[in-house]
Amino acid sequence: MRLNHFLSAPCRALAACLFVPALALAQPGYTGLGGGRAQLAETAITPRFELDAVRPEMHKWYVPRHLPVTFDPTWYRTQSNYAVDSYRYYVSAELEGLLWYDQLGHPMERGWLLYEWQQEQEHPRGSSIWKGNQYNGLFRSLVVASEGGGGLEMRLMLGDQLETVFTPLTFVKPRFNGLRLDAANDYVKGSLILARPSKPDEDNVMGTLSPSDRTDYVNLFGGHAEWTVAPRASLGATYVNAHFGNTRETFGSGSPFSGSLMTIQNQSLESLWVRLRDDSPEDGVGGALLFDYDIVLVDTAGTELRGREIGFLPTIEGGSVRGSALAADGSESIVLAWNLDDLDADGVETEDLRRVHVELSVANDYHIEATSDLQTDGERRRAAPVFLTVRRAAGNVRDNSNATVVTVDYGLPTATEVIGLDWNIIDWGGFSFQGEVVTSRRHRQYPNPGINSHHRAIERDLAAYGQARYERHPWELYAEVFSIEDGYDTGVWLTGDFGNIHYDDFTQSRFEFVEDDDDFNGVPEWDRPQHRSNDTAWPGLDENADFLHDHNQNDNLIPDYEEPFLRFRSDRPEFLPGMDMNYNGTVDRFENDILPDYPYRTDQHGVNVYGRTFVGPDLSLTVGRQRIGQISSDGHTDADYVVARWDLSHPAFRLRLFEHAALVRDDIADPLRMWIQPFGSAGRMRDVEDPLAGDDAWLHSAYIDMEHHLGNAIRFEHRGRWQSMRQRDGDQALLERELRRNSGFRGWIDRVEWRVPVGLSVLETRWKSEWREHRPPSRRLPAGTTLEQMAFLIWTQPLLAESASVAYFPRYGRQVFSTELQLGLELSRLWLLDGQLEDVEQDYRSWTTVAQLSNRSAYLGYQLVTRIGLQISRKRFDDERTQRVSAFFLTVHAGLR
Amino acid sequence: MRRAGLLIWFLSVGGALAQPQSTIREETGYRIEPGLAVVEDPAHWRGWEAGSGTRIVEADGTVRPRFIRADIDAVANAGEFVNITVGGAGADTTTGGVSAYGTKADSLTTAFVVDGDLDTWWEPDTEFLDDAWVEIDLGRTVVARRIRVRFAATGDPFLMFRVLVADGTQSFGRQRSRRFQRAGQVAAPNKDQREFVFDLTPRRPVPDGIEGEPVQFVRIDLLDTDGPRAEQVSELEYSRMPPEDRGAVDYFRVTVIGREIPVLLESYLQLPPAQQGPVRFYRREHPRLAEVEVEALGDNIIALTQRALQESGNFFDDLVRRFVTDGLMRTGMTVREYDPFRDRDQLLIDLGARFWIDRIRLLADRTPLTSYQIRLSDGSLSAEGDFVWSTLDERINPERYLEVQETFPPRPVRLVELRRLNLLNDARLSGKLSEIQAYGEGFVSDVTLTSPLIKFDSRQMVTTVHWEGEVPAGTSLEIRTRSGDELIQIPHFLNSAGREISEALWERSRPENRGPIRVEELPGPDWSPWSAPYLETGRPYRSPSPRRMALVQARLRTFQPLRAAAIRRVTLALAPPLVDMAVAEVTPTRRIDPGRERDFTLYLRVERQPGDPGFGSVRLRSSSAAAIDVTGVRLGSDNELRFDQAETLWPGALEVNRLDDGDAFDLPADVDLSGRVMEFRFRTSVFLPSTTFSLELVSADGERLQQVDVGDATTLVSSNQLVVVSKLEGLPLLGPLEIDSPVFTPNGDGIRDETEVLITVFQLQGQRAVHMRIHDLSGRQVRELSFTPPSPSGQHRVVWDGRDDSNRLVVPGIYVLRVDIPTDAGASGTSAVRTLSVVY
Repeated sequence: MRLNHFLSAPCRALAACLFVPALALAQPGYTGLGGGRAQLAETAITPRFELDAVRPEMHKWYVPRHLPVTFDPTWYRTQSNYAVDSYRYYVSAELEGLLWYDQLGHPMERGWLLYEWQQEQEHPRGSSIWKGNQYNGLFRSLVVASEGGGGLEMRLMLGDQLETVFTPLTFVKPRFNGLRLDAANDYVKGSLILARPSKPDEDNVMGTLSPSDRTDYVNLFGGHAEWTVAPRASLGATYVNAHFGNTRETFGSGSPFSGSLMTIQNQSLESLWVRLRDDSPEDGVGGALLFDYDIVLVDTAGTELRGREIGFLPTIEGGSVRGSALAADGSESIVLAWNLDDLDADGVETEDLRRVHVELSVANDYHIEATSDLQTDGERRRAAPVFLTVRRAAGNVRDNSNATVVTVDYGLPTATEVIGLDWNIIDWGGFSFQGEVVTSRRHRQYPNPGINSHHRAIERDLAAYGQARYERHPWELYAEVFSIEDGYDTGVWLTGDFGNIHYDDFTQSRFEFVEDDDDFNGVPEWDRPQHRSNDTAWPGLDENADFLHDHNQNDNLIPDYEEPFLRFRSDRPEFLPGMDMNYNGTVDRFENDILPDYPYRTDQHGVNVYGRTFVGPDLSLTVGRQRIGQISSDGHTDADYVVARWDLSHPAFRLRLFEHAALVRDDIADPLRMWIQPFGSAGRMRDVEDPLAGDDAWLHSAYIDMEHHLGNAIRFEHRGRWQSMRQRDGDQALLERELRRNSGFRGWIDRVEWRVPVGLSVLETRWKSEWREHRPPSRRLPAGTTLEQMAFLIWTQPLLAESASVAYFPRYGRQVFSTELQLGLELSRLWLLDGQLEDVEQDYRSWTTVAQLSNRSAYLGYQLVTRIGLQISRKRFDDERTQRVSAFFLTVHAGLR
Repeated sequence: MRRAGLLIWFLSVGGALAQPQSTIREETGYRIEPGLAVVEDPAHWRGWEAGSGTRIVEADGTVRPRFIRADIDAVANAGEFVNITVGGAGADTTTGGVSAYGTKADSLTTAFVVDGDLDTWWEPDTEFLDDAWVEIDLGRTVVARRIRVRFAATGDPFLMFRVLVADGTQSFGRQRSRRFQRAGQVAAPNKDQREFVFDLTPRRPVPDGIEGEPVQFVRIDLLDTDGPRAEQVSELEYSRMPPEDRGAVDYFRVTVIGREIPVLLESYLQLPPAQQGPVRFYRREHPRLAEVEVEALGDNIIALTQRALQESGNFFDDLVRRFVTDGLMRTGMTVREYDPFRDRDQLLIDLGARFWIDRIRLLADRTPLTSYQIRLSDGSLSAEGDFVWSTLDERINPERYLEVQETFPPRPVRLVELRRLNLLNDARLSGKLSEIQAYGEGFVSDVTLTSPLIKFDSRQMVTTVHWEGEVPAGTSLEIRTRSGDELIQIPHFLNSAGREISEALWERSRPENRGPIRVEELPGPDWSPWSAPYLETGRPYRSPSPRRMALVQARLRTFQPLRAAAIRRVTLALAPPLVDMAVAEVTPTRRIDPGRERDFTLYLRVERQPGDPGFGSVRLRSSSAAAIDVTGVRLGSDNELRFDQAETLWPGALEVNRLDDGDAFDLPADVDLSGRVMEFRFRTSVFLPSTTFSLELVSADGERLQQVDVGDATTLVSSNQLVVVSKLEGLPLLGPLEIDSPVFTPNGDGIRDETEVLITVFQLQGQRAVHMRIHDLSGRQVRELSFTPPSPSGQHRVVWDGRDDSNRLVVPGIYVLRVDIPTDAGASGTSAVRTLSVVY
């Protein structure tokens, strides 16, 4: 800095030429594995400078320049006039960025460092990820490289939001942040992925970006390959692994599959706790029964010591004596605590321990958890141990018939991997079969800072499903079978900035291979680190795949069936047909939960079989049976069902009928998190408990709709749904369960639309009538009936139109003009005929009027749609309260069509 | 977790406590008498640990769950509430009761208005009306429906007065005075009415269903009085009055037109007789306020249980919960909005026991919660270990009522959770809460009382457990025990303010800043788990004995709100141990093949102290149903046993007697066990996953038993246990069927007329049916021989006499015998099939 004061500008320029490259080379940060950076010409052998730049001139430079490459004699800033000269980017393209070298010293292109991920070992903070400003800005966090030839096509993608799906049970991430390499030829196609889920982005310190350097990291790698083994038959294999590591270890130490302990984990264990609980505490009996216990210590030489032999016994808290065993029923628990520090007094050096496991002789409905002083909530002060499940008993056993010895091989989690096979056979003589078998393996290691090779333990859980279909007209047979064990897990713990793990925080400390994205909008519904999430999941599917819910096409926080004008075409989900195969009262495709999007729920196994026949082209009948059982408990879902479908088309109308009837016995709760729009407050997501209304009930669901028209201008549509459930239990049982004997939903919608052209203008008149009757199964929820009549009037007046007539295009409707003035009026009247609903408490009438001016014009290849207008609404309730809403809007949308 | 920073050590207290138990020793929570540990006094029961506010200890020593009342006189128990105000000049400790009065009053007489006795009263000095007032602090904010003012029958009621109430909040400004509101006033002179009731209706807008008004302070102001002229009396009556009742004497001059003008006595005496008018005598007024009663909604369960927690922990720990559950309207905090993503920022209140609750009430003094949700749990856990919640509807409060409530049918509740929501979608809305209250009626539904460590004078045998109590229908009383010898002592270092600090900080502190070191004693690692409940009084002690210490737990449960169990007395019968120490261990202990007889060796070592009475016999029992066949008993040192040089007691001098579930060994009188080990060799089979062998020493007179402990009895083995565990892996639950006569001839000739089937069942517990059916070769069932044994594990013999279900002899031929045992786990190996041949 001081040098600048004594040197003239040319001298400084010269000095810059001479020293800057050298300084740049000398900076340690730029000599890493990502290649060097230097201001050197491509052809230079030694650093070069331009002699022409050395001039005896007194003036200062007032224009940006890059002396080694070009020399611009103009030294002063000139007036710019973009009407005369085209606007041009500030720096010449050939000067942009810096020159970079590969590891071999070969110069690469001049440009920016977009992305650098390097892992230097045997020193701290060795895992570093850097994403440049251009990566996040100009390249919008996505870089794609392609190569192809000889029938093989490859594509390398680096991005923050790569939609990556292998199979439903292994890897489903709508926004994968990492590297992905895809390759395919005629027979094989595959993908490889690589990422560092623990902080995959650069650090943002006080608003400044800097490389994200970590000592402890979680790396992920995996791949999926699919072979075409025969025509219309493919076989796939998937492997995904996420493991811990730390850069203090030597390269090659540990295993990339089982991971290694993080710095903060690899300490001597002081305390070990094992807890036994009742796995079905709600019944209050038949909980865990503990017959015997012992701790087994194995040192680095392989010597095995049993705790009882050396008098190393646990402190036992909780439980009560039952015969020769300890029992924990209901909310009770038995906690066995071993203080490993006490071993020193017994002559056993804890730092020599390589493995510690606990043997438990248990029976009945046990739930075993373990923790240690290193498995905590991650707090640096007053850290509290966090129990993690080790084993759960299958079913709800109370008679000792499952007595067994469970070995709790203690270790801290270090890796999660999934290994799977999938297959797909399509229409082999009418037979189709697809499915998947996956094992999830969680690696754990026993900590000991004194040794390099840690004892490893693996927990395995299996998930599998298969779906087979055989079609031979008019018959069709279908069967699906599945089993996903309770412990099946596709998540890995993530380390915090200090290498600590918050084992109690599933929100911020877990990385999931399979995300929860029930609404298919590409944004996970649960809050997990390193990606944007959105708790608001609209109930239903995005069937037109536009990343917007079909009933919230304007992507605001109000469903279309609640919004003025939009509600003419959009109907509440209750009116729409669908199957509810888990009998929780919600059509399956409208369900939202907070679980990974596996095709079936974990901790369940089951089978579903049906046969279908087509009685003529329009009518089909289906008869089926469904059986589901919980694995770790004794819940069951049994159903025998009949489905009929009739689709009758005629030039003048189309009529569709759907009927589903079932005898159901379901005591498996399937809670949801659903959108609720209560009366008088903002809509929001809310937990919805499964009332278990299908414990023993008849279920019936019918749907009908019909479309017809009167001439070409008037169209009618009618839609009705009748869903009911009748309980088979006795009155007393229903009273205790707070259920109504008969419950369900009935609704009917009539809709008519009439378009009247008036010169260039068009008048649209619409009417919609909606009648609905809700009678929820739970007595605690209100029941009621409403009728709402809605009338719409929309006048569209083209402005600046050149044509004197309106053109109507078959299938596309009326010609859209560039500039239009539109006026709309909606009138509605709602009668609360009976009872009360959650979203309706009293009668009301409302009106809404809109005036908007819209313009469509082309810009930069996009079509801009500009709207300006005013909307005024008023709703008057019967108790004289009035809601007034007015909104002025000016919006500009840009789209490709 | 025991933190490394804490000083932990195990203390054997035997030496310190080894005193002869000849005297009565009173301790916190119990009394040691010769041969007894007794719990009976109210002071004893108060030393037992239970959730705050969950139990009532009556004067006779009966403990029962607290009865939560629905309608209460909040004045009656105001004295139970102590409030500590910290910080600043206002720091103070106050107790409910009369909190202030006019300067001419005194604390003694004003206290009579809250003593519940109508015969005592406070009489203000009527000459100083401005000071004639009294203020009552209810100790907490209650929801008051009405205030009742009662005047003494022996005096006068207040001529005019008013009643003011305040909820405890204070006005703004430098002078932080309480904001009193008028609850009622008597503005017309009252001479006769001695009881007034003033209804309190909410002052501020409230939703339908809200009744009452938050009140902490009640003030009675005397507004007017007749002073010395309460009542005109005759001169005779006046003269007979005691001086303190004599009021004014008025003298009048009579004018020529008959008008009476009051004059002084001196003037009156100077008047000519014609002008001397009447002299009127008066009784002095005695305005006597006897009682003030505040009829309130009920006991606020949250304040009742949470106030004790205010004193524990750091002051700043969970400040919101502290302020909104302290029962005081004047304290409150802004409640953070619930974060559903991370499931945090909710207000969780643990009542410490299950209470019958039917109403939750939220009070605020300004900016109340505009939307909220309440969840309730009775403390039950789900399979995941989380509480099972019952969720009430989400509520919005757009009118911003300062008092809202949730009502529901009475239910047992242990946990209350409040979530402040933002349903009006306005992040600017703050939500302040002054109090969250819970009301209900009924006995606390589940109270667990745990004794302090009961320390005997020395290692003592507890022979039996007795108790006295009441267990009405719909209630239960469970007693459990634990015992042990060792303690874990955890020192807590306190500063001079009584706050816990680290040991290092305590040592660095100046001596004047150091507080005491409080040592917490916890059961050590050798303590037994809680025993199974004692179903009847007088049953034998179920925890290991002899031990130096014991713990007793009493659980009072009620399943109906208006009924409660009660306990009055618990006694542990003590006896000196037969020997100072007796330990035993067995081998082998693991991977025992169930159902097969095998050899076991059990070692017993006893240590006697001078004066120990000793024992005459040893009883060996097994929890398995199989018989124990003793093959040998030896006595010797470890080396003698190892090298086969030990003394053989059986066959020999020892006498072995068969018991129902084991054997008894009567020792010869001259046997010397000191320093030697008794070795028992026996054969038996096990059927359960774990089988416990137990040894009991029996006194010579057969009256007393001493349980032998598990321990290191010999160096020959290192099992240190008396439990043997079966080989559980791959074990079928049903053993092979054994048939004594696969071919039999049921012809009545006495030879092989029937066949016996031996069914061996392993592991199973509880009532399980054993299905045994006989079919012919066509599959038709001919005989049903199923049965349900009381304990399925073990061996069962079933006889078939060759007859069908109609008691007819089956035709000769081959039959199929099928045995099935249904199990919860649906385990394999629970059915077996054999064939039988009937020939005749």
